[in-house]
Amino acid sequence: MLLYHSIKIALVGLKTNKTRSALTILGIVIGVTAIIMVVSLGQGAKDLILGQIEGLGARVIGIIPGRQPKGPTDILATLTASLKERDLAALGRKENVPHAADIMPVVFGSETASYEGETYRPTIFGGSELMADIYDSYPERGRGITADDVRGSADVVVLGQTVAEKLSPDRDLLGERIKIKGRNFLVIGILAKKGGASFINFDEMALMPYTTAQNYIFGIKYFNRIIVRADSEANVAVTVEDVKATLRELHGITDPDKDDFGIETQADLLKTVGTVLSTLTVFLAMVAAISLVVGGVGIMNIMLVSVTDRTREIGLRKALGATNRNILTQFLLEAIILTGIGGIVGILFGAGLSFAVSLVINNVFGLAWIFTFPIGAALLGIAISTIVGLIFGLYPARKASYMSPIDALRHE
Amino acid sequence: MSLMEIRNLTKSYDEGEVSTLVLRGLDFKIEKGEFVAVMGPSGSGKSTLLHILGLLERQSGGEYFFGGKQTGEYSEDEIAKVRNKKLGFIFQSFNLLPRTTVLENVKLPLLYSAVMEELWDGLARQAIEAVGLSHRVDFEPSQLSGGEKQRVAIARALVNNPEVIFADEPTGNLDSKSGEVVMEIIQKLHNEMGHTVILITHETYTAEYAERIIRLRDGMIESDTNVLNRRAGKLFQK
Repeated sequence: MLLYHSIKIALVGLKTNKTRSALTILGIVIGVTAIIMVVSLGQGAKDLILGQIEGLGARVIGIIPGRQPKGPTDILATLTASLKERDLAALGRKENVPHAADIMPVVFGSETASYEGETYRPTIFGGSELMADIYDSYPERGRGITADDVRGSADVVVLGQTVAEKLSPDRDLLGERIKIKGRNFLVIGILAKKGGASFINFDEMALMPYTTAQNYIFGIKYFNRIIVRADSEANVAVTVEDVKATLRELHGITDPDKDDFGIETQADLLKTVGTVLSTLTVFLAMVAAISLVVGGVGIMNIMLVSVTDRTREIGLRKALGATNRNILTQFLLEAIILTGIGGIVGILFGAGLSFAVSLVINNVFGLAWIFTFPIGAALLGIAISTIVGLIFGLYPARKASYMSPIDALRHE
Repeated sequence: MSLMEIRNLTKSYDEGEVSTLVLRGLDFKIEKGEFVAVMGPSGSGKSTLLHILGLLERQSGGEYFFGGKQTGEYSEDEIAKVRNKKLGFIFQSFNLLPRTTVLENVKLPLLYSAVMEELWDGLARQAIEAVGLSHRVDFEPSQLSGGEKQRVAIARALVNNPEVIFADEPTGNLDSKSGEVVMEIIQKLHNEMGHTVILITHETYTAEYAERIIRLRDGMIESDTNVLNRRAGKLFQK
């Protein structure tokens, strides 16, 4: 007897028991749907987050003050006042860092802002006139911070959408004066709405010259970051080395392990965040895969009932000349075809739901979420569900094949 | 050489400690082309005898030669092959696959045979025609009357052109009119196509379609006689 005939018999068997077949595969469908959704949404989230990190610009290098922790007990890492004006000056000299196109110091922290009785606590972000270009944060209305504002420690502020709305739900704040830490600031610009999950959330920020923030808001002489932008992507690595060399010389550091600063590049961040997200996705997919095993137990359960139910059929087939192997093959194929179909249906469901979710995220939350169909996970889903069918179908199929034709025919 | 021969055949069923002897040493021969009815009251062992002769179960003692070969020498797979190629079964309760057309039901034995698939349809239709059900090929069992169902079962038994057809109380679930039609078809198959037929029944009326009657009582042969006034089929003689 050819395999093709066995498949045909199995298919007929499944077709004549449609409801049962459909119920049997439900567990597999749900399991595979879960896997596909987890992987697809995981991939979407990863693409989105990595996309936002990439949005920072491949040429951007962040210098972080303080020794970077090498382990969980590395307390010295908390020393954060190591980046100062002289570092800025040294990094700005062409002979030190020849490929640095732009350099901007950054200070930030939370502070309460108020306007006519309304208060809100935005993130104060102090930078230079380069801020708008580096972070693509041009004001929607009004103007941005200028070099003159920085030089003169001007009391000006550019507000993010959320900050502006919270402080004054009805009135346009452009040109008004708001109070931050008891000091009056002129609102010179309002940022465009960026969306809730940007990597740096400008909606929640109040931008001002770093000089103003240092002198009047935080009262500090150091920077929280120095941002260096290389003149090309190819020169990022060289620039990182130049920055390190410059700062080490300036700070008198000979042992790289004792650096009192850290370097952050987009590539590093992409790698770290990407790894975390991938690990998370794999973990969740594995949890979903466990549900496939549960689905397999369901299959075995229903196949056993099916074997008992179809005792007469088995007996008849044997009386008509089916061998034990024929019967075994038939029931095993039924299980495998069932789980295979369950896998395919699960992939379609999973892809469909993931697509629906991506539409919702796109339209409701306004994020640039890209739907991806995880081909690897789909193949894996089909493979696992088929193997589940094989494993959990074997016992019922063997039971069927060992039935004696006459016991089977007598069965009422 | 007889087609079938049994020597001192016994069969017992063990249910825990208790052993029930169902067949207590039977001897007979059945020649190719015979039409034999096995009669007896319920519990006489006639069904068990048919199951053993039909290679559906094995005897406990004694010998059974089929086509000159000791059936004890057959492996499970060989027995399946013999059942498929040389034996046809008709059961009291029809045993048709539900929600499956007449044509597919009749094809069933071919699925397990070495017959090429191209021939299946033709063979099945031919067998269906032989039982006069050509107008029902695409019907499902639930749409057929009891008599028609049994005729489908006969067609299924025929489709492999077996040497022996076993009929286990084929009229047991039928009204007398349908029963008569079924018996006449079986007789016609025997007369015109030369199939050996072994019929199990407890009705003398039905048994008299055969040429020879073996009567069982309590697992032993009570009598083995030829039928003098054989009931002649008048089917298709309108």
